[in-house]
Amino acid sequence: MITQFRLALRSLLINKVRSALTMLGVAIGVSAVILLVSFGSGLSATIEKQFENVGPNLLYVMPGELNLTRDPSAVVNRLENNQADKIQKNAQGVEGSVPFAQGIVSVSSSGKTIKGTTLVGATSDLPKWVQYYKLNSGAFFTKGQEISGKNVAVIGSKLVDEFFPGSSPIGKSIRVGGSKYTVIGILEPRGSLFGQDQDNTILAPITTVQRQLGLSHPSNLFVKVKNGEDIKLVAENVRQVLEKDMKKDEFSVVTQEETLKTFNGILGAVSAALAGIAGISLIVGGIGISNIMLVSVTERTREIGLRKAVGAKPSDILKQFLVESIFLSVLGGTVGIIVGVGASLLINQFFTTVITWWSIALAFGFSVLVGVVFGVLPAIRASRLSPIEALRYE
Amino acid sequence: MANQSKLNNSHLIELLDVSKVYRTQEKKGEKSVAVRAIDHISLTIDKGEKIAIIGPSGSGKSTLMHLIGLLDKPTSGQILLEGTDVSGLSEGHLAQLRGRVIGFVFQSFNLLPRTRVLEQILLPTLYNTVIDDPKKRAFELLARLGLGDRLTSRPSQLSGGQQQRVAIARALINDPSIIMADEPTGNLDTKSGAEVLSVLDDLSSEGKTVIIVTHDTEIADHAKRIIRVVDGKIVEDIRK
Repeated sequence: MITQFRLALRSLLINKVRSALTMLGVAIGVSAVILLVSFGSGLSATIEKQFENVGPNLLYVMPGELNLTRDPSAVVNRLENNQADKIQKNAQGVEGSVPFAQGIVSVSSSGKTIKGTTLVGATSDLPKWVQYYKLNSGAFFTKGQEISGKNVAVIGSKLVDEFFPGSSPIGKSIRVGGSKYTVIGILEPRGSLFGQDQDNTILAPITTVQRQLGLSHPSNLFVKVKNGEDIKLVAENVRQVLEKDMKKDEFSVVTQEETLKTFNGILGAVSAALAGIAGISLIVGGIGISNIMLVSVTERTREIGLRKAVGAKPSDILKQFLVESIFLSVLGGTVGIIVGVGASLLINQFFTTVITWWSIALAFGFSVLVGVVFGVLPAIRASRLSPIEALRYE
Repeated sequence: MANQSKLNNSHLIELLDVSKVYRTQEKKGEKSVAVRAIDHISLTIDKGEKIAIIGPSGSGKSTLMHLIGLLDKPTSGQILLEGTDVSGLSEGHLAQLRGRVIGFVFQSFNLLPRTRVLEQILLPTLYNTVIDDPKKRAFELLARLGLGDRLTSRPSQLSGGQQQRVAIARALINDPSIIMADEPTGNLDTKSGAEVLSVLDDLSSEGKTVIIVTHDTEIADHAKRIIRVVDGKIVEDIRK
């Protein structure tokens, strides 16, 4: 077997171009699959993480019917801030409820301006029921500040870095739109979702935000449910409470599960597309490998004829070709894994990617299989020919 | 009869009523046809003989050489090597016999592409260990064939005559008792052809059995025995 190994290696070295191209075919297939699957998994993981951040046992009340295809501006918003209190008091199984209002504003301080900041308004109960916004330092606004509509702000880390690098922003002032706000707290960094920087955020009392943005209704209501198992039942309770104020089609109560399902539907399509692309790269890689192997069949058949004529047994030939194919495929596959994983880690600096073991195993297994089959198949055929037939092969 | 000859002094090679039939490929409207390339040939070859097998193209002379050289199996009949029937042996056994006993020289050289001269010559030693120091022997053969400075050359860097001498060195590396050459000068100019023939003459005078297949009667005149093949049959077998 050592002889076969040396024989195979020598043959690979003599035919450097052929060996390199075969390895390249395997490497491209393997790395493409690993990279593409890590994209898809990264996207899926990002979304799931965001939903975990929002906290479990949540219901959303949104204006209008839940319909992704409908024009959102056509929806008439009839939600009221006090409906959150009504839900909290009257709907069974509800732990708490918070109204939200939000809009996009420009913020300036220390001579700098940041555009596209999300201004989020909520009641002072927010930290009690929603774990989405975590405080890094300072404090949330109080019930008193909410009722009187004070211009106080809890700001995201992006704004801290931009306006107050190296110093505490607590007690400093920023301008939101045309109004002056006093910074009372800092949020923990959360990174970005779908290219939107979530740290470019300001939290303020809902009354303040509604006055600032000229909104007369909350954008939506968050409802925290006591027991996640009852969530469907509680959603129905919330619906009944709200139906006293609104018609059935003027609002919708959505569980987190339903929202996740909607996203997962989109994500499923994305994943399927990526799997398709990965499959195509595997096939393309496989065709590349088999092509190079088959192109050299004529030359190799003659080589096999000669080797047999000078004393090689059919088993000698098969062993040599098997070792050659395994060596090339495994080496190419390993290079593919290194490149795929490396590129995936590199891209992870900008966009979340998750490397999955099954994609590495699938890509490596498939490519090595194709490499070995197409490497050995012509050899099996050629070793069955008589040396003379093989030598004359055209 | 075969047993008796084995008991006495067996021939090096003996063909007993050997036939080789090929079937042509089936084509549209044509059924496959059996072609009798070798038609009931019996023949003995003894150690040290220098034989030319001649005949027009398509006569079956190459097929005859392939059968004698164990490159091909007969459809019927027996082939004995040193008195032992080898016609029923497995591919692997035949390969071993070829590697140890027979050296081949082909018209088209059949060198491995892109492979260096030294490795070409050592090829048969990878499959059968017959001699103690293959490298030493390879150097000796190369020096003898005037290729001492061509160790690391590749086939594309060699002339036809040099390539054929590399092929001869390869045929000789395992020190076989039989050398078979199929139109060895067919792809060479007159001068290189003469060189190759003189090498084969030398090998014959050293006691090796040399069998040359050719359609050239001038080359055949080098041999001490001429076997003429026409339509798969021996029509003439002259010893000089």
